[in-house]
Amino acid sequence: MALKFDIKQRRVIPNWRDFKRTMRLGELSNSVSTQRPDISVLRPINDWQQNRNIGTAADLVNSAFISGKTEFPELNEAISYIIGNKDQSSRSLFELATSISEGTRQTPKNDNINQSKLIDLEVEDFDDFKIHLENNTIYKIINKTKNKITTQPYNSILWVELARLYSFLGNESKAEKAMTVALGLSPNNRFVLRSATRMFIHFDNLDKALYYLRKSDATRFDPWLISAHIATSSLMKRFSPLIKNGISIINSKKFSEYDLTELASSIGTLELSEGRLKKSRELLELSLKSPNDNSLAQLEWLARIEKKIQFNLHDFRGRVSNTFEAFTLENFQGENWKESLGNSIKWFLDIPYSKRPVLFGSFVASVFLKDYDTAVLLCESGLNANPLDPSILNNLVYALASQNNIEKATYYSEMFNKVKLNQYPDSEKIMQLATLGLVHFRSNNIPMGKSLYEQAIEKARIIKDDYLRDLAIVNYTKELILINDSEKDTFVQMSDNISESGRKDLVFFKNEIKDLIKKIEK
Amino acid sequence: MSIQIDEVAAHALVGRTLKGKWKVLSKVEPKQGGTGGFFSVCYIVSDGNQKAFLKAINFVAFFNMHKANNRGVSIVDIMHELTEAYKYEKELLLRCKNKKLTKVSTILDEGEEFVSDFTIGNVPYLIFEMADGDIRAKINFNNNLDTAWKLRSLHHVAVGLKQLHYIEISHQDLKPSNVLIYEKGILSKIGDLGRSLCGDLEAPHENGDNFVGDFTYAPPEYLYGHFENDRLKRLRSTDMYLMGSLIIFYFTGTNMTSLIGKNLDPNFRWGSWGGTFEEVGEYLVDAFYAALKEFKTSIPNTELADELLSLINICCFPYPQKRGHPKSIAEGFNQYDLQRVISKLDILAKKAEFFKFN
Repeated sequence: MALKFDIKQRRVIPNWRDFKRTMRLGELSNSVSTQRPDISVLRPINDWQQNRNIGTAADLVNSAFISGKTEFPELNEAISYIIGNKDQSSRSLFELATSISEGTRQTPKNDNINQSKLIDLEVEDFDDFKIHLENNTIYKIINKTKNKITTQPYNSILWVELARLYSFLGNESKAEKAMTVALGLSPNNRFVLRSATRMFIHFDNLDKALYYLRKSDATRFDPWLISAHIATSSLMKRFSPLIKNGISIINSKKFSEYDLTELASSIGTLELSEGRLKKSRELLELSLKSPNDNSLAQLEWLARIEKKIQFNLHDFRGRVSNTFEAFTLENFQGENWKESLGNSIKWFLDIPYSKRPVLFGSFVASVFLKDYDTAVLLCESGLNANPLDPSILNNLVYALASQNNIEKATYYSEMFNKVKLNQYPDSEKIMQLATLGLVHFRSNNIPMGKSLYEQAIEKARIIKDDYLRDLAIVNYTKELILINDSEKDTFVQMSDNISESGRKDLVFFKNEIKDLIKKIEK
Repeated sequence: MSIQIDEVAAHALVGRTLKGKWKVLSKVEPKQGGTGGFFSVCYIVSDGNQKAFLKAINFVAFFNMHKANNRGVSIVDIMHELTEAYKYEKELLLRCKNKKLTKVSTILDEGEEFVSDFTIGNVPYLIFEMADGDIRAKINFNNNLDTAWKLRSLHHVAVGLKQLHYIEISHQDLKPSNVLIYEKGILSKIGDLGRSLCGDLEAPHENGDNFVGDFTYAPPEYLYGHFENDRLKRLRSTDMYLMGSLIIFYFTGTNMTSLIGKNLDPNFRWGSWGGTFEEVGEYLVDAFYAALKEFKTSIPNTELADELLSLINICCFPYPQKRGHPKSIAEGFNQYDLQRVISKLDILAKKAEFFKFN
């Protein structure tokens, strides 16, 4: 049976994207107002007035660009001179002059509406999706990045990018090596530290994530890093000593609402978990003043577990970029399966090292849409970054067996043997038993199939996980009906008695069972 | 009411012979906004053999400046500030003259003329070698042309900078308008020591750790309010950056700081960034490498492009402590020593003179 992967404790862990996209999202800006020198352009203006030539024009254009003073007639004359004397100019000078004249270069783009237009994954259909997942493309990009590093060895951004690419392939040691170089070069840089935090958490090395955050001087003053520290500590069930700093930073009013969105969300989540609803609400409201995808997804999740938190995701549609996680969950709740799957695919492409979108998307595709091809592709892609992940393997085998691709299902199910399941919770074993039961049913090995399903049901009963037990029962029932087994009526009866308690998959399976019975009766 | 030109002795030198040697021929426009532009009057002079450039100090301008200034500074302080600046520049120029620096524009003579019938009749002056102009009048950024001249001129500038360093002077204001050309462009020299800083002479314009040169050419650290604590390191790394930036200007018409800014997201630029230099440093490094890549595309000859790129890489790295030749750093020599830059530019200039880069 397929697994959706509901997280019990969502924390505001930084998302890790490539530098350009992170930059464009505004997560690396610093909006604190600071006094900078007032730069005079009197000298180059006078020089230009006395001698009009390409040299003085260039001098004036440079001075205007650096001083930020771009509104005076002599500058327009100098720009026109450069544009009119292209044969004496260079491309760089020409571009600098025209960019000033167009007024595009000095205007920071930080509004959320612009952000959403800047980032477009352009995944419209299944084929587009496949192109994004071509493995060879990643290897080519890795090579290109390594080549760049040979000429830019001090560029920590490139090292982070290399680590990210290796993490797509699940190459933990190479990813960690590259990230360690980046951290050595730039131990106080927000982009490097947030990326490192996410990477170490992804590789389940929470101690290291916290170590580098704690080690950095920047963490005490930077709301984006304090938020990462609080979230990581919380994942480790530790108290972050930086909560106080975070609260005073929020109260200082020195930072923009966007700079505070994750911090307010992190502390708001903690307050809620401590039962301080009023304080939590204030902070969560602040996090929504100018949210990013992470704080929105956090609210979406919190609103689901705490009914007193009111939140309408659609108020933010088009205003916030990369809200794929939040809309995956939102559409799932609204039973818009196709939209939920579409968003989970975009969510996966946005952060391809994460297994949550893979599990969510493959679950929706297999269970509700019967789109096994997409489920298989998502899982196979997810295995790149998370090799031998038992949940992804489980959903993959489930999808393959469901489409009766027994050869491939058997191939992947054999990989279960390589997974050290004792490191995982019992629920993984139960899922696996049921899924293997499905494989055996579809391979016509009915007794083995029955035995595995029954073991799954029994184990779930022992650990008192009603949901897993019920899920195993409905899946087992389906298979019994399909082969018209004599035991089917008993299990149909059991399925009928299952309380759905809002579980959409259980409702869906029960309806499927009813439809199957009707078909058989006809 | 301001004092008129005809009431000022410094404006009344045409036709006079100074020190019995220098005939004052004509007045020329001073550089507004440049060092001393507000309080100097400039002339062409001749000793019969050569023409020269005279910069006369206009004391009366101090009073006009005092009226115009809104800094709340007293006239006494302004006069003190400007006379100190004059004395300081003269001292440095004399030092350059005595040490016979060949690639620094230095003075031929100096003195003080008394012009009668004026309230303040004393006119101190400096007489400089006569330049053809600065490089901006000659330069062209189409890089199929003048490569040999550009490289030779840059070589001269680097030599001039090293000569200054040798006598403990850091120029701090190296920019295109301060590279003067002589002998129809054959010779280039560094001019204007007005903003220079000296190892053993206190400069009146030295203001703590701040940048003293023209901010439109400043290395990026100053634009973000960062100053290296070690004075000598700060001065030498600044001169090194300005040298590299000048190379960029010769070939593209943009300076290094503009090129970094052009390749930097607007949110990270000095005008928008609210954080520190350390916090923005990595983004500057990334933009710096992008700028190098852009520069490389401006040079048609790949060999020359690579060589110049390596020079700019060592001169202009955004972190001042990482500027300098890796070998100098590794071998424990002064990392900001310009000798390797000079040698490389000399070789490149020779190659260009033999049409190797055509």
